[in-house]
Amino acid sequence: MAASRDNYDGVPYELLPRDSAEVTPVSAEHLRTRRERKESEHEFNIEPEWAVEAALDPAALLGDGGSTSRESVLVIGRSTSAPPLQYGEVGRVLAVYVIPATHPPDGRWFVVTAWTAGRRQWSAYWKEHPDG
Amino acid sequence: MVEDRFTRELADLIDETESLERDVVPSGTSRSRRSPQDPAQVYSIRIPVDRIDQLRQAAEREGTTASALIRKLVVDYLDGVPVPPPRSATDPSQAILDELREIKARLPALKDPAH
Repeated sequence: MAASRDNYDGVPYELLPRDSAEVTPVSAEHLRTRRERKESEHEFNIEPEWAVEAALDPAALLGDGGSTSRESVLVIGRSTSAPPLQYGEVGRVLAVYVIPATHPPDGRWFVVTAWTAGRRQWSAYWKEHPDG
Repeated sequence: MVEDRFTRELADLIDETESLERDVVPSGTSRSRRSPQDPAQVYSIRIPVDRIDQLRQAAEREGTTASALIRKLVVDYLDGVPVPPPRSATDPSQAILDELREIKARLPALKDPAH
């Protein structure tokens, strides 16, 4: 089993290598059509590039994705290219779920899905942020 | 096919992840202490099947892989670097010409080491 509370394949989350992220056509379609799928104007359609940027954010938070398969990692990271949620903010903090290309992870990841980080995730991201 | 299986598994995982509580910060979540090395986004591009062999041969002549050649061409384009014409597979004189151009460019330094 890959994901556990504080490590993934035995590697502590804070030390997981992240060098590249790929969005497959299936995931790209999923990310780009959130608003239409959910039929909610509060939903935010995400461009694959934004999800990748957040997934590779050097200051991202990493943790257990919580999926039954134990495959996914939750990355709370910022895309500086994505439109901000509030005035004055640069980019947007996203919650991105990724799975590794190999076990143990060698730095290559696939994006599963992503959405705008919730209030708790946003606060956790900015708390003790290196730039703050 | 492995790819089909992966796509199906990914679709299942997407559905499953969608049902998770959204605004969670799992216990054990920690700030990354390992910066990405040369972070890269992977793009899928479609190359016409009838050009793949040509691409592979061009990469071989440049002493690189097809994906590395594509990456170099795109980055050079973005940097405004003029893209040289491809070395001809059928005309060996092209390689000789390239060598001569390179030597010519190095001539001033050879004539005058202080140059």
